[in-house]
Amino acid sequence: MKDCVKYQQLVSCYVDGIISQEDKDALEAHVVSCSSCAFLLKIYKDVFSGPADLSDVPPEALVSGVMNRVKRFDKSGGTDKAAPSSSSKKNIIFRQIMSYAAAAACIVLVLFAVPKLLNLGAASDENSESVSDSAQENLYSVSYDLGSDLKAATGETQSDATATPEVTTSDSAVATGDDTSAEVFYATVTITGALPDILADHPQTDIGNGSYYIYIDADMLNSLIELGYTADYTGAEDTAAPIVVIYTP
Amino acid sequence: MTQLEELQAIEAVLNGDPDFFESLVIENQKLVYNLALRMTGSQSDALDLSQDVFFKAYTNLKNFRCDCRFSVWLYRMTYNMCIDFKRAAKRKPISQISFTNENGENAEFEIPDCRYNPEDELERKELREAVISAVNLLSDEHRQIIIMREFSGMSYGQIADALYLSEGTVKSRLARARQQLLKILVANGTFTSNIRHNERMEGGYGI
Repeated sequence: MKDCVKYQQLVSCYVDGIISQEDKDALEAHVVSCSSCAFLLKIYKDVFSGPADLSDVPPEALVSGVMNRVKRFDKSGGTDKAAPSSSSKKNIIFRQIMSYAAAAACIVLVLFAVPKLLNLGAASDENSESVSDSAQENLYSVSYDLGSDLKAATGETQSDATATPEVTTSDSAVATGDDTSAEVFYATVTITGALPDILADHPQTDIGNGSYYIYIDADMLNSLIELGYTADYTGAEDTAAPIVVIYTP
Repeated sequence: MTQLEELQAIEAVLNGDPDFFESLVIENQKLVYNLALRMTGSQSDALDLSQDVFFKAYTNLKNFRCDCRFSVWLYRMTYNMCIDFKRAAKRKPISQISFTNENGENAEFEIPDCRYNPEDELERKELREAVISAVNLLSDEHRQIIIMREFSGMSYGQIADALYLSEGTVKSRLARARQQLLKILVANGTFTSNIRHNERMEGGYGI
């Protein structure tokens, strides 16, 4: 029994192969005649690095997920676009909202400021006022064509200062603040034919050529990549630019 | 992967070739994932945390001082991130059967009812599940070293580096942790049928 205590203290090192040859030989000789220690040794072999096989095999998505994230990071110039947590998802939505708000604010500024700047020292008070009124009208109803207005302002005398600038009217352009054909994206995913289930409930914006835009967030982009779809990073410098699926049924 | 190959891969990544990072991920994913899995108890959380760990390692690779193996650096990062995660989530281990652990505290765990016969594949799986449940009842110190050795497959040297211990201390701490683990398994009856037989034959065990 006393000897058993001595040998049982060697068992842990024995199963890890870090026991001296002398102790190894002694333990192996002991267990031949001691069933208790033999059973203990068997338990150690089976539980620790044995048939119990305690390690789990990592899922395949681990490596691919890491490398996708690394590639996005490098492509974005050092910004982490992966947002698996809900708080990060909220940050992305917030940034997108703020980018749209910033775009709308710029349009408002242009509609007010540019006419005033272009009419400094050129128009009479009456003409300035009428241009200003005209600009305010445009703010609420149409998008403003800067090119035409500049031409009108620089190429005409004050008698022409009240001319209405060339405008394009588009409800959708006012609503989104953008002409969809010129919209800049951070990344796009092109899907033709069947739409994956995860996108089935997402709203689709008709872009007029038989295709649709489906605006998604970074989480959804990750999910699509894991499903095997390819993301095309358009190289937009604005890391808050939207991500979109270009879907053609 | 030898330490030299590891350093070469790291150097290649730092020189602008990110594809070499994949070999480092493949080499160390078992260690990181199993540690995260044992500490969180959730496969999905372990996957997310593992990816976060490797991404953080990639973005901070220039800070790796090469004074230890890359696996040890990853271990420390994984451990700290799991602790932060658990603190934030305030997760608790799932347990149902009463037991008094080595600290004299009441603890509980659920284990499958099984006879000890690892030759059978189903019973090997049950043994594995019993061991995983029992690990949750160890002290923090013992649980940590059992996870590192038995689940993440770290060597004595890697464990010593990660925990700032000598290999001798690792050896004795691991031996004590294994003894405690087996005591728990014996208490829950995992080895009952064989132990009763052997107790009749001899004077007991060192557990």
